[in-house]
Amino acid sequence: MTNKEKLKRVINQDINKDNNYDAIVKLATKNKRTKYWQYTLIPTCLIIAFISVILLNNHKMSNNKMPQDNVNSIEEPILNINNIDMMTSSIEGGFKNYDDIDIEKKDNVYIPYPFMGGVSIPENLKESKSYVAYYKDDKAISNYVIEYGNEYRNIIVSYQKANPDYYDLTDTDIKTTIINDYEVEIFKLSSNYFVIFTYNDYDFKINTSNITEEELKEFLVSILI
Amino acid sequence: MTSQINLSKFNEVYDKTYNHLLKYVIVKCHNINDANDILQETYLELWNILHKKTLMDTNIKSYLFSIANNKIKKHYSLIQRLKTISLFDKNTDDIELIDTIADKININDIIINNDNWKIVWEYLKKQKNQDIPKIFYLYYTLELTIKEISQALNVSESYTKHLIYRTLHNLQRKYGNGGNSHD
Repeated sequence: MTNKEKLKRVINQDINKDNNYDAIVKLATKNKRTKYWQYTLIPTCLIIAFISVILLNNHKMSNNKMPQDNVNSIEEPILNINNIDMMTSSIEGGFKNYDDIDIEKKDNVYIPYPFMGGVSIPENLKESKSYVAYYKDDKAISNYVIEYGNEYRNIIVSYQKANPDYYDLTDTDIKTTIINDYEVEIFKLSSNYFVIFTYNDYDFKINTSNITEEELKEFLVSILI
Repeated sequence: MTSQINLSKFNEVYDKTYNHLLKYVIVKCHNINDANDILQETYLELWNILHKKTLMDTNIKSYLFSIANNKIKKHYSLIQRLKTISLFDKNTDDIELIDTIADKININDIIINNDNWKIVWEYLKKQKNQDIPKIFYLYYTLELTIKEISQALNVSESYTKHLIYRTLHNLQRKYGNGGNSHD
């Protein structure tokens, strides 16, 4: 056996078709068993909890105020930031530098406006451009993009039609922030934020450079209405 | 019965698409050590979908690649997006050494201590420049040409070629007879 064949054998033992298949089947059947528990145990617990809440409420004084009566009607959200350690090189530019992405400018293509109302843009920034990003090979749309600001200080909003089949926000290791009942994941690396959420039937990914946390919060609160 | 049909369908799709998808995942992933996980997550997703609805055969492959693409993005959402594929030049660190390496070294000429190629593969997978294990996989396992590898990874042919030869040189030095493989 040549060295090339020996290396090939070792690689195929590591990235192995049959092993991967077995792992997939194992995971799939484990998920199925987990679901049986979910369909029985969790509903049972929920029913018990619901009944308990009703019984408890029936014993409360009639003039007992609901907690919401004592706070402002719009509560200031607290951003739960996931701080990321330095990965590799410094951050420059926007996702438009992805190697497999082409940029199509606004005047050629219709770009849907994804927000329900106005947007609170940080001081000294303005909408600079909107465009569509395409995959180079087949011209399938990757994302719509709206950029605010300049090369140094900016907010880059990329979004695409939401796909509930395989866009999953749940990850037990990541802290989430709730803004107006929308679940948002916020990450921070150096002077940059990266935000993920689904809103108005779009999946959003937002990159910012040199925007303060307060400016980011105002921006997100203005979008997520 | 339905579950048997779904399993049969899944098996059929798995057999037909595995090699293509594996190549795609290897090329697109940031770290080759994640390839198995991403592959499994992708096919698991397909499994779940096949159990919920019927997919046309003509759509399955592109659907599968879309799932894989999203799994890769999700897998690397922190790294990839936060880096935002910047203007940095990933080849910069290698350029200085490229011209100093002779390009006539052949893998079959290397003599590895104890013929332990598993340790060689582990070494390759640990490289900071993950193009190295990718190129070795594509070159020696899938037997793609230098040109095909360069196109797949979107790098120059000279970069690919010299990465292979420089790594083989390093392997000879590290794991070859007389080399210090305890580094």
